[in-house]
Amino acid sequence: MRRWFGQYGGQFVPETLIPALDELETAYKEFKKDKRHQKELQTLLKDFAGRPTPLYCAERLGSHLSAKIYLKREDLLHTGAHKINNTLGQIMLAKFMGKKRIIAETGAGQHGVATATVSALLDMECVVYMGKTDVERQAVNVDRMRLLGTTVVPVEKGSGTLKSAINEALRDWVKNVKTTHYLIGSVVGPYPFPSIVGEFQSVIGREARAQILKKEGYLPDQVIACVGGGSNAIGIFRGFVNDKDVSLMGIEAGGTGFDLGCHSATLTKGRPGILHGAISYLLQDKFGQVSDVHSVSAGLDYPGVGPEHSSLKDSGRVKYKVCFDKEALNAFSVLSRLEGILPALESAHVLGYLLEHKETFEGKTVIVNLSGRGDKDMEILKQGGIHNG
Amino acid sequence: MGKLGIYLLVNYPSAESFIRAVKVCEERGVDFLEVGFPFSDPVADGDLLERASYETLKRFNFDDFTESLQEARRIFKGRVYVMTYANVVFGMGINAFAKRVEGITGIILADVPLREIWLFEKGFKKQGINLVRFLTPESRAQDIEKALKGAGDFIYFVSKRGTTGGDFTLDEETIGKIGLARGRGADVYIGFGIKEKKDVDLACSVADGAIIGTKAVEGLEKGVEAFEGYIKGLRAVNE
Repeated sequence: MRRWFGQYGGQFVPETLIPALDELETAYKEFKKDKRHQKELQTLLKDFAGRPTPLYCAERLGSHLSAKIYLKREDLLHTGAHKINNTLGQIMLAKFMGKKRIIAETGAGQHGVATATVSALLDMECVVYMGKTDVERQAVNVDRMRLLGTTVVPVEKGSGTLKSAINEALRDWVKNVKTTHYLIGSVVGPYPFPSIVGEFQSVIGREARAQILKKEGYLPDQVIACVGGGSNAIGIFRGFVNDKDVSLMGIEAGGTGFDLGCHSATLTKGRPGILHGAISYLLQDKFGQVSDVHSVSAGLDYPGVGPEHSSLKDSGRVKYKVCFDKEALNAFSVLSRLEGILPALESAHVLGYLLEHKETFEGKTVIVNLSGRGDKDMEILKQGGIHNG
Repeated sequence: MGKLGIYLLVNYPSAESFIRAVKVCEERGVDFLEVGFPFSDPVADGDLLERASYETLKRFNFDDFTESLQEARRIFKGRVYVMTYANVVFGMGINAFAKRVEGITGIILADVPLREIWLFEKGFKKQGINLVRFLTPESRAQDIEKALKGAGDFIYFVSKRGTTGGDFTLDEETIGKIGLARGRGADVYIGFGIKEKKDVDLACSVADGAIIGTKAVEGLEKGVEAFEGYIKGLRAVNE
């Protein structure tokens, strides 16, 4: 496991948490070697979550774009997004460690719902922190979590979005570190979280690679995924990162434009900083204060990004580009009408980029990681006028 | 007699009352000052200091903070430390930050644990500034060893698992860990949750000093007179 991704990563947390991070690292290594637990995890991923997810050839979208487009259908997983790959893994790990209580942060609510679901399944007490703004704009997911027996704590302090939720979860963890596992939902946070979450999500890329080889007999030209914290992207990139001819692209949220505070395009507009336990690209002012960010998609509305992405950006292995709110909203309609699939607004950013840059992808074989489904976004879409078409 | 350290958030509740509070600390024999530089995401802080940080950031920037810090140093003759978070230093550039706070005794970074000190140490050493080490109730033998190595004039013992503020208690195991570090020749000061005379007494009976943060800032919110009364009451303990 990698403690550092180039100059990025590390463990920038209060000293109190260091023994817990060490314990987690040791336990995870044992968990990985434990055949019985690994088998149980594989069974749950298959029978409970619904893996493997299909690699679907989106023909109408493809002909619209003059390209061969495959969608990796993580949206079809139980709870509606890739997040459950990680929550199943980490909650099994927490049980393996003897922890009784799970805490998590959530932005769009997808990680929260996945955590609440697996906590119910594996009989763990569960508390989810969620920014107040997100509680309002993702109300359906809040109801789902509560139905599953989870306590949802709205965080009013700070920006009231994902960042504030992580702050509050970290505070809870420092206080209850003996009994509690903090289930970080993305490839962010102090080591070993970026590595653990990345490994649990790497199933996406492994499957996609095998599936495209089976269907086409060759590797794709392009693999593309949205990047907030960046777990779905790392998950699919890991399957292709050693295939030098496969171009990798991450799409960040451009929000309403490139003024500071109007977007969440961390890798595109940020510079290295330290937030939530790791050195990584960060949206910040010249004095090191973390910027306010914006995205129409709650899951991308975060000023930081996983350290592995920072390293992939610097090395040039992954190109990071931007899709703006209105392009993502448009892409939501396009996919809904061409393919009968309502994508999560997060994933719609990838489609928005494809639609806006058609010429780049012409004649190519492209795998899009469709990381989640859009049912949760109805409120936002109504406000955006999409439902009226 | 144990040392008494007071934490004040720079320019809070106002630049003027911050400076007047520093004067009170000087006049009332406080041994050292911790000047907090606010951060947008203060994960080690409880509600009160978090709220105070946001308010301060709305009204002032880093230039204002360093100006008030230097004014505080002119008034306060004892040791002055700056307490903040990693990115306030890193985001500006470690060397640049260290130059701007020149003259302080030490820097305390709430989210920099012992194993990540390496990143910051060199930049501060060049300016003669110590990077203060933390120990906690969770610390293991190897952590105590690590903290002792290169420790400056004190080790900051975080009294509890949790954020600043709240209640102050010390269990036997924790007292044992404090004893271990002191047995090796380090001065240990205890912070987090210390409020009243009796807490200071308890802390100073097992360690070399006590640090008060949240309660001092709360006192100052009520006005400089209330703050002075509060500090006077604490000092009586040690006289």
